[in-house]
Amino acid sequence: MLYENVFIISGQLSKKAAEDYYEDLIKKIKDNGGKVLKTEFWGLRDLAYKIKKNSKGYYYMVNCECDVKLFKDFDVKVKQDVNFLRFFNIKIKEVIKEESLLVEQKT
Amino acid sequence: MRNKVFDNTSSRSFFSKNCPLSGKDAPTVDYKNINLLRRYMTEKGKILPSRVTQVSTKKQKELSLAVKRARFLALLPYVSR
Repeated sequence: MLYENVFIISGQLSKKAAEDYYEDLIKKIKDNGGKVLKTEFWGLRDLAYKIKKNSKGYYYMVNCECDVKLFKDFDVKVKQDVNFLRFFNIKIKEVIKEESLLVEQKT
Repeated sequence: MRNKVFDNTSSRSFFSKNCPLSGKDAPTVDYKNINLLRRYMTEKGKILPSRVTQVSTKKQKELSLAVKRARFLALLPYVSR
């Protein structure tokens, strides 16, 4: 199965700390036998509404092929961790090679 | 009086357009395409009805799903004042 995941990490962290956090998540996917097919960084964006008292967040998108059980861990982690704002996961039919529109919009 | 019925149908055919999201050159509806989704929302953040925007039923369903996904990711507001 192909999945598309979006992680939002707190904007109060420094850029390096956010990247470390994101790489931890990717490591989890790889350790559980998943394949990472495409990654995108959408930058530090303003949130449309406040999440856990944050008004900014780092957006990361990952297209991967992996087991569903892994996503339950992420769901739990969102609830427990203050710096992990959102975890979003949908099934996709194919990986689009071109960069998505949000990459260009980053400022 | 007979013309009234006729006028109704003629005015309807005058205003009716094709769906702006169907067809060959139409943009793909996706939660990442925020500027497209904004065009089909009110200023307050509500989704516009398809009878206003002429979007086909199939595309309107895709549109509403995309808007809801974008809202969850805080790309679009649930309500803006």
